[in-house]
Amino acid sequence: MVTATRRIAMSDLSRQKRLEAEVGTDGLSDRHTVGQAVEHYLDAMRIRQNGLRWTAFSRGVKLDSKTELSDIPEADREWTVMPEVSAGGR
Amino acid sequence: MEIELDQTFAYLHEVRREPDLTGMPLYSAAADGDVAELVEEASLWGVLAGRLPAAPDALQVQITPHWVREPIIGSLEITLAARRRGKTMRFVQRFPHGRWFREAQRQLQLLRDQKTVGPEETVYSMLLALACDRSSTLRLAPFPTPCIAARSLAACGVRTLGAGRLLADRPVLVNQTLIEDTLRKCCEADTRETGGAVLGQMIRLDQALPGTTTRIVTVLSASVDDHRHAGDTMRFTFDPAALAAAAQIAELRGLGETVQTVYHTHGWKNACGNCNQNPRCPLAEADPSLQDYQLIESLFPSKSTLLPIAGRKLGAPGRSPVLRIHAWRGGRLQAIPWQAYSD
Repeated sequence: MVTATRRIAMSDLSRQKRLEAEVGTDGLSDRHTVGQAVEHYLDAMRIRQNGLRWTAFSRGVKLDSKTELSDIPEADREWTVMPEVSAGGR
Repeated sequence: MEIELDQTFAYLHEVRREPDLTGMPLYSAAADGDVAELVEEASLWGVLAGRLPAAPDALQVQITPHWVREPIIGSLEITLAARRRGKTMRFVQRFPHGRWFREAQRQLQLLRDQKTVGPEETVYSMLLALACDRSSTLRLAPFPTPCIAARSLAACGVRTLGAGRLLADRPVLVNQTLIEDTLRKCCEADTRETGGAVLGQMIRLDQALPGTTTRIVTVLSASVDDHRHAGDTMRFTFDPAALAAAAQIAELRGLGETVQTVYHTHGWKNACGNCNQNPRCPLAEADPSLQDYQLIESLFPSKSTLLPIAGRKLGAPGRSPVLRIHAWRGGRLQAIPWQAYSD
């Protein structure tokens, strides 16, 4: 069986912190979930999780963190990773 | 890229009752990660200032403590030597601040809440460097090449430059419409906070602008508001789906923009209007709060990120809010000068 190379690109909103991972060779497998891939990105880029809930978006749509990477369509391989977070003068 | 790190210290952050090492610390934690962040800040500072190559073949990092008295650090000097195509460029910056300063504020609040420290009691935050003979435990973040496109100002929609001035090594241009929108929104929201996404890009010009020493310019071109973001007094929550939608708008505009950052306001009291003159005004000034730091470091973890805040500033002229833009400088977000442009 021939398996196509599966690459996932994860970045922040400004595209300055960007990680490209090949599924199967860069610490991620098809059985890993979106949530686990996001954790992999945060760790690799040394981004502190700060106890926040982190989410991946593709083409403006939030990805289910429990979806396995094998179920992610080819068109949804460019993710923007961000947390739910507040600002303020407090 | 090959990174060589020359440092023989382990870093520790402590909060103490005394300004020296007598007695037990109230708080103590490893601070290697805080110092690693400064290396990243120095690297991007150097790249954006045009003093370091964006994609070096090799980077040599040297961290030198400057003592208050050993092992208490007054500041850290970071020297970067970047080699590209056989040529080496060197960049040195000194950092009197870092994440430990903000952690100290958080810890002080906790200690006061727990009544370990009295409401008027002074405590001392200090960064310590302890000599270690083992190899360094400092885990540096990867140094991705910043997204900087070779582009003219005209291609970014910049027609004429307006009021303001540029920081020589970090020029920032801001669309006049964006400025007016943020200040108007600040007034409309009154004491509630409001905000939105800011689109823009970093570009490399053929020539540095007058008065600047780098060809790399950051252009903040438009704001995108969305009703899904929610604000109240002293707090503003950004909705991730709305920010993702703003990223799509940036793509659709076809100008090479991304969501560069977010702006938010710290409130303005229209009924009073004396916010810039009244030292007792309860509204926060347009300076980054601890919450703002957490926001910007989570949403935009690159040290090239800018943080625009609109609101009052004590001593600013007039009876209207001001827009202040902050950049990472010396281990913290500091307000920098910037210039308006018209499209």
